[in-house]
Amino acid sequence: MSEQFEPKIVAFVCNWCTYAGADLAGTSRTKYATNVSIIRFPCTGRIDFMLLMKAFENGADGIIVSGCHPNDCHYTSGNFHARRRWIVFRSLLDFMGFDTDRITFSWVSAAEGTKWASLVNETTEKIRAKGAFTEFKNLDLETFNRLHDEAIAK
Amino acid sequence: MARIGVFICHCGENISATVDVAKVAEKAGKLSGVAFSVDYKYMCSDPGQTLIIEAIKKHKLTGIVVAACSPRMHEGTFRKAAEKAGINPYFCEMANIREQVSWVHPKSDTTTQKALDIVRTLVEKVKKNTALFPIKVPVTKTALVIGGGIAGIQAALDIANAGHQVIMVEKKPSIGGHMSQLSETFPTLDCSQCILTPRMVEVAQHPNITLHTYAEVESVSGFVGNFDVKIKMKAKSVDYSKCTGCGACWQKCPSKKIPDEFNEGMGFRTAIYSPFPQAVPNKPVIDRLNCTWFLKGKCGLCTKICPTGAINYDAVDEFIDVKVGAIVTATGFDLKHADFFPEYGYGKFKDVIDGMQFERLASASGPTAGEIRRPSDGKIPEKIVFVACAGSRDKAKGIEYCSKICCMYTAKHAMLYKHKNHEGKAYVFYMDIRAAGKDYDEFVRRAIEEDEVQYIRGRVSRIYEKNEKLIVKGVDTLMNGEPVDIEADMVVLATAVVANIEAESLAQKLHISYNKHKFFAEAHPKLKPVETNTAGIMLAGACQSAKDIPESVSQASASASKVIGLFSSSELTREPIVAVVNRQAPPNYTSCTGCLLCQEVCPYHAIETEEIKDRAGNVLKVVARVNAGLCQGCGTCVAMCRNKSIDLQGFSNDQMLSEVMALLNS
Amino acid sequence: MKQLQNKVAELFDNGTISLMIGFQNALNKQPVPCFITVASQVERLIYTPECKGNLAVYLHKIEVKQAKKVGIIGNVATLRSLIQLTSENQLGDIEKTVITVNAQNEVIIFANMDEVEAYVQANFPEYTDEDKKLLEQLNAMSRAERWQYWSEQFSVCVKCYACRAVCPMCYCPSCTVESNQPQWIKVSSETTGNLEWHTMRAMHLAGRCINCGECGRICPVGIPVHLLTAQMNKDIEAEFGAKTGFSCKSGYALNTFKPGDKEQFIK
Repeated sequence: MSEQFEPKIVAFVCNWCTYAGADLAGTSRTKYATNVSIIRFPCTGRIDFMLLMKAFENGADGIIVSGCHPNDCHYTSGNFHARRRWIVFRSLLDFMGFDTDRITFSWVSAAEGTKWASLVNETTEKIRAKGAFTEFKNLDLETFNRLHDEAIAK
Repeated sequence: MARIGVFICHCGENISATVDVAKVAEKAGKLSGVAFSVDYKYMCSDPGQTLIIEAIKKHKLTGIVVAACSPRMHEGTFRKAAEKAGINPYFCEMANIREQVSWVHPKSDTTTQKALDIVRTLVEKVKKNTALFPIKVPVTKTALVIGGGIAGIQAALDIANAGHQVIMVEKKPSIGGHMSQLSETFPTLDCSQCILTPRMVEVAQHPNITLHTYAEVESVSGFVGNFDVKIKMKAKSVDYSKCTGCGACWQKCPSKKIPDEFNEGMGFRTAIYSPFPQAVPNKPVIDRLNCTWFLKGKCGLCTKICPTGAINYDAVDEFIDVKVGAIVTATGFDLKHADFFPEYGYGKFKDVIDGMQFERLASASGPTAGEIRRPSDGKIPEKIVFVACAGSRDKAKGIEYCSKICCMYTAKHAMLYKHKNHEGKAYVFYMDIRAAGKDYDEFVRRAIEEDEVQYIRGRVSRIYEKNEKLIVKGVDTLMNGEPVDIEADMVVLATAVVANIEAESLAQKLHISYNKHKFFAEAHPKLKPVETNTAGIMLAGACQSAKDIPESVSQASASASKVIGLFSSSELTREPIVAVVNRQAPPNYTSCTGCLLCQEVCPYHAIETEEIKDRAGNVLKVVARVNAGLCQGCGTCVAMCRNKSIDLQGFSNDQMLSEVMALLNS
Repeated sequence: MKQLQNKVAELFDNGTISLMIGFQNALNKQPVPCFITVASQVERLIYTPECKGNLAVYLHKIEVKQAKKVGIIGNVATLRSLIQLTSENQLGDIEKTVITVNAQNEVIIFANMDEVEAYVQANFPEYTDEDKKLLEQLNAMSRAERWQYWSEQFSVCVKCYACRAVCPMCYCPSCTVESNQPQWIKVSSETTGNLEWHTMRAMHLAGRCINCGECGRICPVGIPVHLLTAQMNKDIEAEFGAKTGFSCKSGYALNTFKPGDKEQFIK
């Protein structure tokens, strides 16, 4: 009986909304999957796309990025800037052929504890179905092997 | 060389029930850079904090990680402990292994491992922490109170009596709020206006209070201690410096058929009007949307009549800018109009009214001079049915909360009706009777026992008109669900209390949170009921949640005390979680290229330019610089900077990268 | 050509410029940049369709900055670079004299950046047919095919950073990729690190790149890196209406926002 694949998912969340929403899920004792670990940022505006890349590089199979709903940012506009940044980043990743479904973006407010729990569960199942992010991890091995094979074939 | 201390809290059984805390402490002790690791039952308690302080001193710790509840709970507590132990408080981080681990996962090895992962993440972060020192900013000792109802009035008086300046902004022409519309108040049945108006006058005459009526908050910027507020003074069309309140204008105004807001549409008012006789200030405004002069350019009677020439048709909206140190929101509530209960016929049948309309009928200054009369034909009703919970506690209708005040005012309405009509019959259809306050239950019993109000436990399914009567179809659940049909002359619906219609837009201007029902969010539901998450902004009254007058007044005084506390020193100490643009040695001076693309994103305009000069005074480059007094620490500029010249203290690039690496590499 | 040389000589003579950055004849393959400091050297200056290269990149060099009064010639792409750099406060320490040669072979010397802006807005370029075709092909591929394509391309990147060196918009004296405390991007030429480098470059240039195509042209191993930023700019213009190198006042898409920005992917 093979063990079920347990994806590793990192969540980049903002302190004022999603982190508080996750705390609320905890206070309400809502149960959800263990696969998601949270890293706290003051605002989604602070989330650098390079941190997402580093997460994938270091073994994350999936990422969640979540913050305050538009118009509700504790710092007024951080999430608006984040939104634009994500639109562009996602478009770039898609153009490069990166599987953008591995990154889940959402707005979760401080009152939405149940939404957080559902998001964690849904994302975990989605990434579990996709499997480990070997496409990214094996970049070097794959290309190396292929180029090597092609060179030998010549 | 880092010497980090790790403290794992059991939190009683809250954490230890699902996380093997001893194992986490043991494994954490083996992490590189960790000099001391221990677990304990209650870290936040006195002995817990002492444990931390002694450990810091004994093991010469350079930083600590407390793995316990959410940092939103106790980060402050443990930072103070670190400070007591002699290290900079910003070398303390909290790992959230309760709300985000032990409370949401079952007891298992995976859960314990996750707790360890999170501890490891914060240990790596702390290694990159730097000493930070609080920033001091001056405090403007003027408070802004938004809303002139009883809560706003109480807060303003408390703050003013403590010796501070208060600016009160009220959007209606008079202060007083909904309390001024009530006839008598529970549980004492004393006259609402009689207890309110002295307070209103006190506000108007108080030397420390500046009252702006018919005004709204246009915009708010800045931060605690230093808010810049723009107030829109709507054009009153009457010069208050000349007006004496003689009333000649509204007595003669020919436009007499405008539905009166104060009387909840049950009476009429003139175009130039003062909302009610005891209005403060007792000077009129012109309703430009309904005034003949503004609509057609004709009439102008008031100008001719006014003895002091106070009418000014050319007045325009004016804007003033004020600086305040704290803001109290006291914008109150509205009643949900029952048009979403088509089965009750509100809006369709004239004699189906809501609670506030009943208040106006019962009120001596109301459209019927205090006599309860049917709006349709003016006859005195012989039977009135009161429907409680008309809209509240109903998930299907979208309002699942209890509006708190309706059980009491329904009893009051029934009693008032019976006092005025001894022969009349009053029925109340109820689900529960919520009369929890002081003398409240006794009040309801009085209605039932002395005034013979008949209480029927059941809901009303339908109301329809037949032969000028209202047929109320209800049920008596205490009589085995027996249907009850009443031929009533009037029906009063206790509709839901909802947030003020402009609550959402005000919340967005203030950057405060609100729930899905647009009630403003308190910082903590139990322990911080009058503050918001935005420092310097307090809540008072029904804008936070439905509540009655004694509670509104208590909450207003509570929020005033928070403001007074804020004003108790001339300087405010701010958290140093701010952005900084690096500075280096010559010839670079800084890695900032001066592209200033970060400047645009700052919502607080905290990014300024600085000219880097050589010794001769020649400008070498113009670069960015952060004004630490304005920066609120969101970090959007940091993510914007291509070469990472600007960084956020407390959430620096180094710290966040360390967290990501540590989380994924064990 | 003669007209251009005469005009530049005039600029030297009346003291308007002390350094002219232009093109001179090819030594081996194609015309190369040249730097002239006296009027007598103007005969070296040429301007032909073979003059490829975005000379704006030299305006960041300290030697050029020290010259203070600099003349520069370029096509519309170069002019766009100048406009974009102006909007990012980068050329304030140089008195520039901007020259171009239009489609009718007339030499135009702009009096100020407003004139440059007007010219650019009137002659705003499209993507080349070749680039359009390549972008279409890439966008028509499936995600997996694109991943295959780009990972292959990135596997041969040697991390020479020529793409960065030739780009006028890459002017940060200390680039993130050179940071080793902490190390954001691996230095060695391995595919994961290469992918990260190109992602970072594309993100930092998204909304700033003026599509001169130099980076793609200059890559020693032939990776069409200019397509990454070309695609980004297309998307940004489509989503947010922002054009690069269009106005001297900043129109950077990523430091502004509209409350009504739309997307379909945020839950």
